[in-house]
Parts: sequence; C-alpha cells; structure tokens
Amino acid sequence: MTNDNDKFEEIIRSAAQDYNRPPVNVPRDEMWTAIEAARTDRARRPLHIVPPARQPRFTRYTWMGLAAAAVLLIATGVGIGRWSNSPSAPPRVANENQKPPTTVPPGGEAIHSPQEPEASTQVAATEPEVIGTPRSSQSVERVPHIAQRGTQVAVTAPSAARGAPDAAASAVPYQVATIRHLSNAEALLTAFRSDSRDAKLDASMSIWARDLLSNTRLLLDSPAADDPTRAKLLGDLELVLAEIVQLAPNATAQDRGLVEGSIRNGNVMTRLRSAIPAGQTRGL
Amino acid sequence: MSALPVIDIRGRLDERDLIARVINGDARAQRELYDNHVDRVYRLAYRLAGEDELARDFTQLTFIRAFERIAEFRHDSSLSTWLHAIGVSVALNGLRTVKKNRLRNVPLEEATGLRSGAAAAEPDLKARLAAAIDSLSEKYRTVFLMHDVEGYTHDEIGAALGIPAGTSKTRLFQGRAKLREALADFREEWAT
Repeated sequence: MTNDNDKFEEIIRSAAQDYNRPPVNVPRDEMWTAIEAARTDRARRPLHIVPPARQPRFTRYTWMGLAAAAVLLIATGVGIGRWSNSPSAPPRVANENQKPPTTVPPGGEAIHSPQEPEASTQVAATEPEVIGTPRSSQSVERVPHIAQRGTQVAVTAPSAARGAPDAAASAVPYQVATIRHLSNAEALLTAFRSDSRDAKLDASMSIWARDLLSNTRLLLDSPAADDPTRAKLLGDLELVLAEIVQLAPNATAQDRGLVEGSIRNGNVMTRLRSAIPAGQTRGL
Repeated sequence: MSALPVIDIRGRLDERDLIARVINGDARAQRELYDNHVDRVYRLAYRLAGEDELARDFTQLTFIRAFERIAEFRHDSSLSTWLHAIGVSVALNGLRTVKKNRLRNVPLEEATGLRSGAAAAEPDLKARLAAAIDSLSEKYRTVFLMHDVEGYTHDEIGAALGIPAGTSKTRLFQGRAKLREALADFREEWAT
C-alpha cells in the first residue's frame, strides 16, 4: 500500500512538471530593459500590475476623498506652520485676531458689531484698561501688527529670520505636513500589526492606506523629500503602504506576515517614530 | 569533501563583493546580479502565475525592489534566499490583487468528479491535476510548487515564506494529501 502511495505520488509529481510550465528561454533582455526604464522613470512607484476592478462610482468618490484629504492636509500644515512659527505673541493679540470687524469713525470711538458679544466680552476680560478709552489709536496700531503677522508665515523668529533665505521659510509648512503624515502612517502601521482583525477593518484599512500612499507620493515630489533620510523613509513607507493596499480583504495571517516582514526588515516603525518629534507635534 | 565549504566561502565573498558594487551604483554589477538570479525568479513567478505577462511583471518588480533595498541586505541569508523572499511576496500579493487564478479555480469537489471514465489517459490526469493544484489554498499550492515542481528545499521555502522549515514540510504533506484525495478515483483505476 505504501509502495502504491509512493508510486502514485511519483506519478503526480511527474505530471505536475507540466503545470504552468515556463518557457525554455527566459526573456532576460526584455525584462532588464523594462527594469532599467522603470528605475530611471522614478523607480519608487511600484509597477502597476493590473488595475483592480473598481466600481466607477467608488473611483469617483475615492478621488474626491483624496482631493479633499490633500487639501485638508496642506491647509492644516500651512495653518500649523503659521501658528507654531509666529513670534511669541501675547494672548491678547490672539484674542484681538478673533475680534469682529471694528468700525472706527474718524476721531471717534470704535464701534463693535452688536452680534458678537463674546468677542467684546473677551476683550473686556483681558484688557480692562481698554474699556472706556478711545479705541481708535489702539485699533490703528494693531491692524498693521496683525497684518504683519499674517505675512510672516513660517518664519521662526522675526529678528533672526530677516536674513534667512526664503526657501527655509517655505519649507516649514512641508515639514509640518510631513510630520503629521508620518504620525498618521505610524498609527496605520500600528493598527495593521494589531491582532484583532475582520473584513470590515481590512477594508477601511485599505482605504486609509491608499490615502496615505497618495500623500506619501505627493510628499516625495515636494521639498519635504529634499532631506535624503526623510526621502528614504518616505520611499520605504511608500512600498509598505503599497503592499497593504494590495492586500485582499480577509487576508490570511501569512499574507499579513509578509507585509509585517517588510515593515520589520526596513525598521520602518523605528524610523517613523524617530522621525516624529515628541511633544505637541505628535498626533497633530 | 573539503572542497565544498571552500567553494561556498568563495561564493559568499564574491556575492559580498558583487553586492557592494551594486550598492555603489555599478551598472555592470547590477546586470550581473540580475543574470545570476533572474531565471529562477522568473520560473517560480511563472509557476505561480501561469502567464508570461504576469510572470514578467512579478520578476521585474522583484528586481526593482531588490535594487532599491539592497543596501539593507544584512547577509543573514544568501542573496538568492533574500531575492526569492521578495519574489514570492510580490507574486502572491500580485496574484491576490489580480485574482487571475480565480478564473482557473475549480472547487476540489468538482475536480474529483471530472471525467472519471477516462482516468487512465495521461492528458486527463494532467488536466485534472492542474485543476486540483489550482483549487489548493495558497499556502499548500505555493509549497507544493516550490518543493515538488521547482525543487526548492524546505529551508529555502521557509526563508522565502517566513515560516519554519517544519511548517513547510507539514504544508507539503497536507497539500499532497489533498491532491491524492482529489485524484482518488483516478488512483483506483490506475491501481487496477
């Protein structure tokens, strides 16, 4: 019986040699040409093997979502850049910035918009000395100050930055956006490595990873990738995210293990965490 | 008897030298590395994918990724093992995405009942075996193809799939059992 088993397995093994039998001549040169072309043409982008079949509607919403996410990311980055790099302004300036439009009659007292009682109250609370005094001079003084602050986007310190190149100032929003992006990526990878999974979670994670993948590619093409270390991290992150996006819903533990191997082998988590500064920027 | 280790050590040294040249951007070294390994990577990709176009895509992507990451190669394993780990990962992820293999997927129950009357004919055995292999789950199919068809050792399979060699043996054993089960009626006729 055992002999029969062995013989039968031998027959199976022999017959299996014809299963998906590859051609004798491997198309070495053609593939090498394609590899060189792909590497020359921004090799960071993985080959698009076959586009996954998607519902047109889903595609449209995906793009809308991506566009919205990109706009939100950039706007948040610029906003944070302005906020975090403005000169250390006194609190009352921040309150002043939220004040309603103030009308100053020529030579008269400032008139506050009646439908904004909160702003008036704030000013009264923080600036008791202002109440009852003519506001015209204060308003005239502060408006240029606020305007000046608006124009100093991403300048670290007004006095020190006067001589700094414009490029450094314009790079700060990208840095902030990159840190925020890396924080999100760290959150995704942490969630990906957690044990509790189901199909719904896999699907939402795939969408999340796709959004992050798009942002990663945007950042790779931006001044944020000027730093070689950060560019390498973004490149590795792109590959890992691409693998997660390609994972099917309900992927087996083995499938996820392969992606986790990529994360582990590239020390992606460690590098991500070291790239994200501790403190208030974490989890922006 | 002592020649083998010497050759192995020399091969390792040559491999280290080749990798160093590749990292330094030597185009000829990159081509040499590619030529050394492309045949085996392509063959495995073709066995898994069953299509030339997909096999080419998987092979190309494997080498693109390898060249991008080769600076991170730590010589814990041979370069061939490392390359095959990338190759298998690329191929399996690609196949899952493409879902091409679904077109050929036939449930095991159907594979067992196909044309039982002409079981002795070899073409029929091959067709039914192909259907049975297609219907194996990925973990059994991959190990069966790598070991019984392409001749990889269990150590190589384990390194490529990130599993212990013992797990590879278990999967091969179970995969073969499923194939035997799928071809049971053919076996009876063959025995008589």
